[in-house]
Amino acid sequence: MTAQPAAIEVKNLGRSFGTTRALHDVSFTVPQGAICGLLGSNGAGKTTAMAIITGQDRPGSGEVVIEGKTPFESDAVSEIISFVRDNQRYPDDFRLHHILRVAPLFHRDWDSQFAERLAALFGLPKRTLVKKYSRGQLSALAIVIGLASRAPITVFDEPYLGLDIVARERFYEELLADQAAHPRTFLISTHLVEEMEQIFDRVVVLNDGKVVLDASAEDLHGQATEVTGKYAELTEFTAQLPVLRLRKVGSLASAIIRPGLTSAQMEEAQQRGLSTAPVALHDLIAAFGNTYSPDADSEANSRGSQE
Amino acid sequence: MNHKIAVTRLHFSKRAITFLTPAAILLTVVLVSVIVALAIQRFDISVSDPEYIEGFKQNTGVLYSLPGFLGYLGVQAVSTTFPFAMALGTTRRSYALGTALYYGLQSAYVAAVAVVLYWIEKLTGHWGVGAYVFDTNGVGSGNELQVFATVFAIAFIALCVGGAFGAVFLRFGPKGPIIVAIGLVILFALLLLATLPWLSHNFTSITRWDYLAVALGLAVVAMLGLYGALRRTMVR
Repeated sequence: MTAQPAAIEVKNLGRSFGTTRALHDVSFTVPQGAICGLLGSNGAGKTTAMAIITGQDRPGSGEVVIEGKTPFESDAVSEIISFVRDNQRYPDDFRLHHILRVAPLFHRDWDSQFAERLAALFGLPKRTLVKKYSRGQLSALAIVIGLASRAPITVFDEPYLGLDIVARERFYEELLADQAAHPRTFLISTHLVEEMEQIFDRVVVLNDGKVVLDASAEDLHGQATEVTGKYAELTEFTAQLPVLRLRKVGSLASAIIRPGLTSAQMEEAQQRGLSTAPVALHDLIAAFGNTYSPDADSEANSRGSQE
Repeated sequence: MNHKIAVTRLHFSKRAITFLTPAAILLTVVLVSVIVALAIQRFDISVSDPEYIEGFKQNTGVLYSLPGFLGYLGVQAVSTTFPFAMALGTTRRSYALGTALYYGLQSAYVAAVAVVLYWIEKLTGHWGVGAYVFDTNGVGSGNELQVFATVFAIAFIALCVGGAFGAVFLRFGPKGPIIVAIGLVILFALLLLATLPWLSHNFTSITRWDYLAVALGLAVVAMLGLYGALRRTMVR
């Protein structure tokens, strides 16, 4: 539970495409004013969830509630949302000035000066047709639209694609500065977990269309523990523990245990000669999304389980 | 700003294609008609010859020159702006209504250009060479209201049908418009077959206004089809 009221409430959301289940019983809440990371491996359901949250798609089951309304075909919700996709299509013959002229028509709080400054900061060409922009330039354009919209709920779908580290740092700085000056809610999907983790107030991790982790930034530590040591000792120690992923390299192995170990379990591990360490968020997501390891034998992999 | 108006203004943001191209098409028809008139006069045919006037008044260049471009404009208006409008924040309903308003205003603009050209045609003695382009049986017949109504109806139905096909493309992919087109051809053939006995008896009593009413009815049906297709379209 959070002290802030909810900006986005996702309740038992489900969505299938033919026989493929994209989302299954997904529930989470994004508090007002939060920067929430929506994480997960490819095909986890992030973009589908974002499309439903922003009213671009309708749920198969369950619902999304924003300001007391369901987003699909809601004029009230569409007023307060910006969602530029990672593969956003723009009108064929549009240039930058067309975008900057049209976008304010849809966002009452649009800041034209900010948009111009961001476009210059990211070096967006003015004369080039938008359809001829590079991957990085398209991402930068999406960032300009999303940030300058000042939409109360701004959704970014992998906004860093094609951007170099300098441009990404600029994005994070502008995002944080503008969020401080004009508090609003951000929902951002990313694979650059290690790089973006610091800007998130909250993290929701999807795997195979289900929520596998929903925690605030301060609660992330201690979500899982990595135990490493001799394979035989490790398998004996983890026999009764919830192993998320087990990897074996020669006679050594490592296991990610979730939830994290208790103090007593930590002590027992040390007595067995096993070392323990908290699991970084990106390693945890990798463990959720992929139990494959080229160094692990099939027996070890078969023990990996997902919650 | 009201999102329906925002969508309308989004469509008008490409000023060259929305304002200049339709005017250029009509001016091209004028130019071609003038060349034809000059060519005819090289055979010593007088521009005041009633037979010449009646023959030139059958000129349907205006009627045939517009639908192709405006149909394309209708298709691309929907297929290229819908995903962007959804990204900026609108509903499918607002998008369809804003697009319908754009089609109406775009048609009114094209019709207004036609009326202005019609006036110029009358003022200049049919472009100074006896070329009948707008003062024709099919377009105006000496009445600017008829010029406006006829060009408006042609433009509006071309845009709406194009928009419906654009929406079907977004909803069903490349095969969608082909299947819908085949279906419509079969449907119209059956309708024609069913109404042929009635038409053969009443053909002469059908007025221009009846045709316009049917055209506008078809445009409304096309717009409903556009909204119906977009309502279930995945945004990509």
